[in-house]
Amino acid sequence: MTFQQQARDAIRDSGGRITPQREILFDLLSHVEEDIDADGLYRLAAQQDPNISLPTVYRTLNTLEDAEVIASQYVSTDHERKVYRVNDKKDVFHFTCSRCGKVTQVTSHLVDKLRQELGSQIGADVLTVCMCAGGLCEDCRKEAQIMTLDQLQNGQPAKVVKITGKGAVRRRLMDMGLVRGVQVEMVKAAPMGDPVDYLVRGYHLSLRKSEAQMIEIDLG
Amino acid sequence: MAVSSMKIALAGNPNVGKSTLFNALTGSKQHVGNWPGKTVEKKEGQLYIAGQEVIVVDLPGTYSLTAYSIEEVISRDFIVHERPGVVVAVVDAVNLERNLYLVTQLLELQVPVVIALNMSDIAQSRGFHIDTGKLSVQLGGVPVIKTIGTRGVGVDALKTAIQQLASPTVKQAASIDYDPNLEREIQQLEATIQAIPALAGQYVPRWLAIKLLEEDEDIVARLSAYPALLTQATEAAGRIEAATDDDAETLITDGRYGFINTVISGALYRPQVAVETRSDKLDRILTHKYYGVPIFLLMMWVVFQMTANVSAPMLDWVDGIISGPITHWVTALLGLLGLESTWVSSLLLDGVIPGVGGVLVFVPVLTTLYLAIGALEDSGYMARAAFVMDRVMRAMGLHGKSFLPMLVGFGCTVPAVYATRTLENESDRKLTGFLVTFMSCGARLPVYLVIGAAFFGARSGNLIFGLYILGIAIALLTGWGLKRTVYRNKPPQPFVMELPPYRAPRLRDVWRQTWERTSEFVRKAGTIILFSTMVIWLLMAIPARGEGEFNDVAPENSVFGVVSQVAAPIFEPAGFGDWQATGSLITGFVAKEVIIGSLSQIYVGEAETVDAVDEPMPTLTEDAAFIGSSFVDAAVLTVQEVVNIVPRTLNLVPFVQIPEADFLGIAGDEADTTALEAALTQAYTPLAAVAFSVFILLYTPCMATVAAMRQEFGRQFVFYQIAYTFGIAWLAAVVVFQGGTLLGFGG
Repeated sequence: MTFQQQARDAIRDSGGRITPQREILFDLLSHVEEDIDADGLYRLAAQQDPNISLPTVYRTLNTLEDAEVIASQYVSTDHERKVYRVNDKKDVFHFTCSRCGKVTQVTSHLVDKLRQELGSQIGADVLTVCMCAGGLCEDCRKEAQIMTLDQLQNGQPAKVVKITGKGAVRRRLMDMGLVRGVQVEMVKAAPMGDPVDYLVRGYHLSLRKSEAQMIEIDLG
Repeated sequence: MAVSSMKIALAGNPNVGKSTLFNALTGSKQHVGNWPGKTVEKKEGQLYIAGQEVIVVDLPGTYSLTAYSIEEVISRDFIVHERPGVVVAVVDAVNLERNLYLVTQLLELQVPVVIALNMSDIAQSRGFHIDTGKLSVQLGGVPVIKTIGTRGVGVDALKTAIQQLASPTVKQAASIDYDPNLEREIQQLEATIQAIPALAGQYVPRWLAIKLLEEDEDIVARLSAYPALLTQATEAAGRIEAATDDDAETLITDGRYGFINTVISGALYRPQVAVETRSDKLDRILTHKYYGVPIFLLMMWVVFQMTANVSAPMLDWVDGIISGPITHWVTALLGLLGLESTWVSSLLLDGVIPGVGGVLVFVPVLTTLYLAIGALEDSGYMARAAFVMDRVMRAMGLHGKSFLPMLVGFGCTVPAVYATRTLENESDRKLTGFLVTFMSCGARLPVYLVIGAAFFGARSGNLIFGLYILGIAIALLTGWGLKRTVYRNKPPQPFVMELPPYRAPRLRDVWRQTWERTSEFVRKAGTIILFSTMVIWLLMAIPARGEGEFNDVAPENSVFGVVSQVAAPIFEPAGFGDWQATGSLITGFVAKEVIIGSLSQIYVGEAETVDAVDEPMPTLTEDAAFIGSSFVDAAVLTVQEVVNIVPRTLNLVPFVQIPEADFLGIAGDEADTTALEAALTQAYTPLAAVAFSVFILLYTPCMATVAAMRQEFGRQFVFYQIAYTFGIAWLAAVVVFQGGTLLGFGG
């Protein structure tokens, strides 16, 4: 039995009518690759039929969930968003980036193991596992790690990644030996905090903070 | 054997001991001047290798050969167009990686290069071991000679290497492995350039290809006649960027430093753990968070004292000889020739001799200035001064190193103009040079003193203090304005500055530089000063109306007087629109202290010189004795002034009063100006006197300054500077007079 047939049965069983709008929703649900929330489904459906209403979407999703045709899960670390998925899919859970808010679906073979372990522990048949993971996504992690030379503290070893900007200043920085991969060390700031004395290739180089900002570094 | 002498060039980073090595190579046969049309110093010397004369050109110290600084363009133009037989690359052994970067660029220019691995003794003491043979092989056969410039070690070996390299059979073959995408484009461009004979004959095709890919502004501008080539280069740069996600400039720099890493691997051993050197320890104190600024101020104060006070006794000595013995001898000589009291004697005694004196009095000042600057630069402290002060000076649109010229300006504007040489960047140098004249110099003070005493008596201190502050304020405002107008579209200049290790200054080198620069002043600026003094004399000697004849005319009837009368109405709105004031201001172009003399001459009349009439002419022996004894006095007084820096410094602290040393017990010979003061109060209102002082503060300080600026910054700069200072001086004087009148101070 296809998902569409299951869904129609469930709606009919609860006394609902099979409208063209509902057919659109069934079709979409059977095709979406990732978990989707009510809002997302509504937006997709509205592209095909502008007459569809958000309450219809909610009602349909609730009925299908009650009939266990689809499953739901709350995602993001504070459980604020409910997403739906077609039941026959595998255990997946969500990782939410605390910086940009992007949600990524993830899965792990450990979830199955966990289900079994929990089952034998309490003698139950564990059907669903709800898990939320949070943190910095890949992009955000990279971005957060991009430090510029002016942020370097005394005693931290660092390597040059890139010189940004252009023109005379950038050229001079590169000529002075600040190229990719070279080690830099902050020695000390001038009495008024700027410029700053750095150790590069065994000699002392004084840079204004505005110039040090043009140099991206990697710690360690 | 070639008839024309071979030319070689000395290239290298700053602070690598290049000058010392240049001196060691050429000995005393040197010539110092400027690069044509530039404010960059050019040094040339001679050297004999196996009896053949070789001309050594000292290229400006640079880290690279880009188009972004004048020094770098000068260096590479010289190598590209003059094709020196050999380029000696002076390389700091302690700092091999960064120093070899310039060498990679020299190799790309395909000139025969020999490396002088200088300061090899310091490298050794730090535990470095450099295998010169291996280094030479890795560099594709570039000879590497260990030198210690300070002791002349390795100079003979260097000469031999130059001689061998000059023969055309020797080939150097070092090639830098660039990113394959980049290399492919370089080769294609190279082929195109090779096919254009006009370019291939003038440039090294590969070098030109690299420069085009770097989008070197200077080269792109020079090749504007080859649009197809430029388009090809732009397209190539685009392809490189698309293929590598990096711009060509980055890949080229990466390639050069990568090459250097290969070259030094196996040739350089340095200890893993960097020990804290003595220089590092010293730096912790001299650039300390709290002591750094006071130490800087103290250093600058000492330099100021040296130029303003320590040089004074010698200055007086020179002045004394010229106005004493020299004048006597010339008078006696004129008497023998029967020319006394003719226009010839007047020209010599009133025009030429004071003119020569006007040049020579600057010699002690400049000597002390150059000694002080030389010591600061050679020791490595000057870079720290810029490091410590950059924040404050930048807020005013200036450079950290601008502080010294400004401060020296309170002593004398001429050395202040020359002190701008410590600034590397030309626009910083010019901006600072433009502003130093607003620092009220020592020669303007006597004028304020007379005017202050005449009109304000005990309160004259307020006037003088106010004038000094006004000068600083105008300088800051002008700097602020220029940064937003003339310098507005200038791209930001890198401050990126090396902090070289501290070294004891080499007295011999400092002295040589002092001597060269001072004598250059006498030769170059001297002529202008002498000329202008003679022009003023001539203007005063030529009658324009009335009864007088040549050399016997009342001032008001001379050309000078007529010019003054014609110009006088300009100053009407400022309250001193009479010919006397205007005339004294014209003489003030020669030198500021002259104003007092001119005013007394005009208002009080020719003061009868007491000694000239009755006293017998001193004999030659008496004169000789005078020169000797006054020199001894001057020497003692110089020592006294050096000693007095201590009490003068301590007396800056409130409530501290330490008496200054007075070795000879000479009281200051204050000129009696009561008669002049009385006359001035009759002629002007106090408000007009203030306006007059303001004008004196702000307009062109003197012909010597003009000559110095002409030498340093060129004719056009001088024109703008004079026009601007005159305009601002007039404006300020008018504002003071008119504003004061409106506020009711006019009475």
